[in-house]
Amino acid sequence: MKKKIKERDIVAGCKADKPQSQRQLYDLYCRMVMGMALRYTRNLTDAEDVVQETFIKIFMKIGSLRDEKSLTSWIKTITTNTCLDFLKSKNNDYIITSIEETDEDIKDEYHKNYDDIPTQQLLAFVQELPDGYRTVFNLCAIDGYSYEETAKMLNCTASNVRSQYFRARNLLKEKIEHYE
Amino acid sequence: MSKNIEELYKERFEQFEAPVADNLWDKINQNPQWQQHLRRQKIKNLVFYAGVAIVAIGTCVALWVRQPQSDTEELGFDEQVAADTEQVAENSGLVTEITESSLPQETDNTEIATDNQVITNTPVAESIAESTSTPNANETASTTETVAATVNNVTPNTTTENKTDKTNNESVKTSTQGTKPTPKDEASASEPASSTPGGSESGTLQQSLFSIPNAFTPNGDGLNDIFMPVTSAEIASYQMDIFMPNGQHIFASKNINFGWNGEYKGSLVNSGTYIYVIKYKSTDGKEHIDKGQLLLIR
Repeated sequence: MKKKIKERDIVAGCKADKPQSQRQLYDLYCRMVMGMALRYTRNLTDAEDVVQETFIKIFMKIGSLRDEKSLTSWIKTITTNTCLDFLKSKNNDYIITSIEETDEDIKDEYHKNYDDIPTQQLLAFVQELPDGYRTVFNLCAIDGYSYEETAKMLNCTASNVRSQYFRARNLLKEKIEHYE
Repeated sequence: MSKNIEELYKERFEQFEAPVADNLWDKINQNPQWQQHLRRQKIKNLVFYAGVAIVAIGTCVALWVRQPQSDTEELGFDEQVAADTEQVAENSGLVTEITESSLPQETDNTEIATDNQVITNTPVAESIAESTSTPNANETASTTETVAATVNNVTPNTTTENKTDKTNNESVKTSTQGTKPTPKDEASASEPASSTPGGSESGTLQQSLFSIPNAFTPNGDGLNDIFMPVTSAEIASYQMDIFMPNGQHIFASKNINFGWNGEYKGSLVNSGTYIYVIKYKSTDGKEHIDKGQLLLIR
């Protein structure tokens, strides 16, 4: 409750362009934004660039934020969009548009104890994926977007998203299986 | 424990947070895009405060400029008042002239002189009466002229009387159509015009037996549709005349119970100010003149 009230004050301060409030907002959300940026980008340097751009966008656009309660999801959306823009700026055709359909069973289960694998290693596996696969896997598997929503964001077809998702998943599966 | 890839990653990364380098905040502050935004913000603020300052200064200047303007406006108002009083003075002059002209003028100078004596009872008028007793008519005219001159010097209203414009003179002429305007008559007409204000003032000083409304609304609603004086006193003779502001005579009545319904030649006249002159004799033989402005509201 106290955090909510504090957040409201911080947002009000940011809307008034107070540097102190901007710093407070950054301190509250920089770790979350950094975590997202890391799994969407290839390495720490790119992630830091994304974090910078994300916070600049947040400070510039916070006037359009209506409901302070949705601040977290608003920041997440901005971060996602910034990541996509960043990848696009690096390579405009990172989404492989022509890809043949794959008929893989999504329901297969893995009976290995994955909890032994450290998060840093799992993150490294994702970062190693090609940009297109990584983006689709992040959007669909972790951030919970549907194929259709993802297709809209990436400006391609839903079936394309689906096939890329399967390929990303297969690649990850291979990496995890080979991890000792 | 069974888990697929999606569940594993969702669990590990949905709330994933990563440590951030300490210098990242400084990098944000040094980011050219952000710097540009801050500069724009500064300019915006500068423009805003400049605008506020300009508005404030403008308001002050407007108030300061308005102060002398309001003074001149007041002056203008004073002038207006002066013009109004002049108008009233003209009207009163007109009224006196009409009063005189409405007196029986078919008679000769002697009778006019005696009439004047009756109205004004001033030594000047007496001297006129004395001078008119001489048989030479030309001499009479000259003496009345001199008397008029002396009265001009004596009476304080002379300046306003001299200002009476052509319309008034015309109205005098139209109302004196019954008599041929000989030089003598003109002289006699100009004489009372200048001498009677004193007399009319003495008339207004006399307590009026009438209560006269200053406005009426001839719109047919049954309320205040007729302009007429109200009195409880006995009146021996009565005459009411209504004039347009330019002196045109538009209504006359000798019946105290017959008032003006706001019509002239069968149609309702415009809203505005009109002049009434009520001349009456009380039962003790005293003559009274009530005159003033009435407001017609349609």
